[in-house]
Amino acid sequence: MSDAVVLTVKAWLDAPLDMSGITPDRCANLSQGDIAALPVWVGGRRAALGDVCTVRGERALRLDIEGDLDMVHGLGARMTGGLLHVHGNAGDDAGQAMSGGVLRVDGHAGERLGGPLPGASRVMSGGEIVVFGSAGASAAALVRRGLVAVAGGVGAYAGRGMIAGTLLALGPMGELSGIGSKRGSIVAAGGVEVPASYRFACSYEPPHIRLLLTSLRRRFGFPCDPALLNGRFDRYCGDAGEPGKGEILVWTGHERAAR
Amino acid sequence: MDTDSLGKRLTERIGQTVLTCPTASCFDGLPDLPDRLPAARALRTFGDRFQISKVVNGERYWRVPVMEGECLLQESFGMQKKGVGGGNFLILGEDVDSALAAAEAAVEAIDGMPGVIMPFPGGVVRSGSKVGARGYKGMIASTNDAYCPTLRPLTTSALPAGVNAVLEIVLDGLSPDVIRAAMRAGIDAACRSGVRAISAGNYGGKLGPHHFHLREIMGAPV
Repeated sequence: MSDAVVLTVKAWLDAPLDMSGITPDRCANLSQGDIAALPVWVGGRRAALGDVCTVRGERALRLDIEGDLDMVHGLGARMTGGLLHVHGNAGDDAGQAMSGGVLRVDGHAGERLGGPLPGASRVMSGGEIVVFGSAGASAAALVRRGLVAVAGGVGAYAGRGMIAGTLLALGPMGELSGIGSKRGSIVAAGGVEVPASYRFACSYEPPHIRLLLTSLRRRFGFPCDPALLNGRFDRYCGDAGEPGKGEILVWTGHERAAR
Repeated sequence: MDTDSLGKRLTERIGQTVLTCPTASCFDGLPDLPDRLPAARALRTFGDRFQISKVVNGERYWRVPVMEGECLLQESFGMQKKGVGGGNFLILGEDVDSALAAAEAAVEAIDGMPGVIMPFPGGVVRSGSKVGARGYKGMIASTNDAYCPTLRPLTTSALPAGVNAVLEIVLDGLSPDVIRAAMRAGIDAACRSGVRAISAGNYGGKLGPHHFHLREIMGAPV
């Protein structure tokens, strides 16, 4: 048993590498050889993980992935526990349908971060995704539970059709964010164009934002502006229709006056 | 108090004091203890289905909408089964202003000390009690007439001359030692102008297994 399993992508990839299912919980009971034998997809070709990555360590609930990862998709997909630390950028579908554990991405993430499996048969139902860069379109789409936190901006359709859960973005959010949300919470600290189907409720200081940001900062060093901790947010309720209990919290940039 | 009763009392107290108090939230102070009381699970229903659940770092919180904004309540609280309840001392003042100023100084000195709380509003109690009652059968507690200034000529008073108001500081803690430390800090702070004496409700030494002797506490090294 080692502290962590470390995967290093061997060389620049000329085809997309799909690493769905290579998760810390799966590696927790496998030897180094068994991990190297796990199946992955390079383009349309099936390969062994050991063919495209060097594998160090075994039987650990922490998985570190290094190398040029822009073309590596499905990182942390379907993970149920442990920590997956991506040292660099992640491709598309990172954290797809995950249900537990922590996915940490030091760089940017591609499209459909924390999204559902194709056909939405399974969606993100737990765990935390923390991205230190930006994320592409459709981040946190259809999320049922869990947290997606992005230090940069996110693309269009962020939080589309959220059932519940939380999407936090410190940078700007793309158009039509939160469209079709049922009970999801979207925290827009870097600005967002709120869809017309949301209705303004009030301007207030939500105590859970302070709790959430403090927790992220302590545990991951998440780079949030201290002014956010006492910040005032505009609350918009939506999306229109039933149940319509979703929310978009937009930071106003104003800090609460000292008492 | 058994586990079920403690859970119900905790729910009542959070509901009556934290939920009602502007800008207040409620968090678990004993997160490492395995015995848990899901006290806020019932309180969430005050939100009438508008409440929102959030899980942060594995802990569930409830956002309950209130007229001021939102009340944030952690769902479960750690329970230490072997604590010490009812540590106390009495501040005997020349008048209510002196007694109250001394009591508030004591509360400020104790507030924030680890492992100890003052369970009453503001930490100060004016209605100290004795065990049972002389006039009514079945009463668990009744007014502590020995320390009531208005009853001095009508009962066996414990009040020295010049005392016209008495306030009590009540302490609950995780161990006898933290109670002792808090009592010492509080009594030190309370000894100020207008205070004639410090005493304690000793209940004849019959209420509970823990005895806190004031002279011993104040003479002990820090």
